[in-house]
Amino acid sequence: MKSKKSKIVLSATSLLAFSLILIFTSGIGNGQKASSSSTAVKKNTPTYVSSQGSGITYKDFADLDARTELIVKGKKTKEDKIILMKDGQGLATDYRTLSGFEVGQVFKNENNLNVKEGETITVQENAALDGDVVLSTLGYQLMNSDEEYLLFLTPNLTEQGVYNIKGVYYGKVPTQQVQGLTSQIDLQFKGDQEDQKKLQAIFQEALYKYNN
Amino acid sequence: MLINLKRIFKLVLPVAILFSILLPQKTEAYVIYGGKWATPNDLKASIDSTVTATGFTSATEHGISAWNSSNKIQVFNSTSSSPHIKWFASSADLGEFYADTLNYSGGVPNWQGSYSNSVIRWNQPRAKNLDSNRAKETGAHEMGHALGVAHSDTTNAIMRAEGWIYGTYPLTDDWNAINALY
Repeated sequence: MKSKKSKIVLSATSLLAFSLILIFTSGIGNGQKASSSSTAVKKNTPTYVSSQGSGITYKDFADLDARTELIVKGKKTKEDKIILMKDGQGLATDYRTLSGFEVGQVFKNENNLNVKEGETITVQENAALDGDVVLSTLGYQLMNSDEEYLLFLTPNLTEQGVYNIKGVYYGKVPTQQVQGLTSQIDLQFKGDQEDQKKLQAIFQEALYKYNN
Repeated sequence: MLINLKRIFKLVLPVAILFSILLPQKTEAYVIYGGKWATPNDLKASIDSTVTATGFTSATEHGISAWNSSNKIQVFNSTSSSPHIKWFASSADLGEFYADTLNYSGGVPNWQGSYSNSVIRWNQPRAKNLDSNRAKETGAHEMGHALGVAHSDTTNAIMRAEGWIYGTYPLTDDWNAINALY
């Protein structure tokens, strides 16, 4: 009888401990979850603080590929101009970088845009260095100089000769892979965890099609 | 002793597995940044002249008031020189996005802590293609960010990460986020 009782007590205690572990690990307690994108990320790069918002998005690689008129591969050569505007209170209202990008290969140029292999074009990057912090739009991470990227571009609607990256960050594909992890791409992106999974898939297909 | 342990294990394991299956699953999908306003029921929002000049006044006014049906949130359209939330519009093409929001804590860009300011920007060259209701939906979505709500894991929320709800006001999941925050 005593043994039966102790078994019941032991079972109940184990059950309680097990459910507590479940609750704490799955966030079932109250349904809320802190956003991983909200924190400033520091990983071999300056600290990034990103805006959040309503981007123009692409459901997969096929969608991005089909809706892009200009696809090139090349290297960022320099940062031509940092556009950083603030209001009277010191709040940033515009943060972008215009970068020189030397085109190595043109894969698609549907509208005969003035982009030729060997020439340098101006790419608008959605981030700007402000002191020791990089202000970023929607998690965009600045390209590293002299690293190779595959870019999905569209002409800037107000500045002639400047090209925007499709979907802010969808169209910037680093061709180098994470050291030691041949199947994993270094996304160079500071946004949401969910977006990172999606980007990983899009970038893999992009590299398979244009970087082989 | 070993036999006893085995017996206990046999008894506990099936019950634990059954319990984990039957345990109520997470229904809310909202995500919050961690930061919040100290006085969410008294927030002043200003509309910069660039907003009026680019034709986003109506969508902005909607965004300002979209969350006010909560008794915890009151955002006022204000001409104060130091408002909590500032709405701007860019006539230059900032990139492939319609609008975005950046919050500040203690005057420094930060989504954590106690918010001091929020800047919401319309990217006019891209957002001008939105119809009036999608512009209002975007305004309400951005206001949600300003209040401290991140993109939701569900598509059934005005804070959905992509696409549209084809509505202009927060839904249940959005209100759950507000109720969890404030």
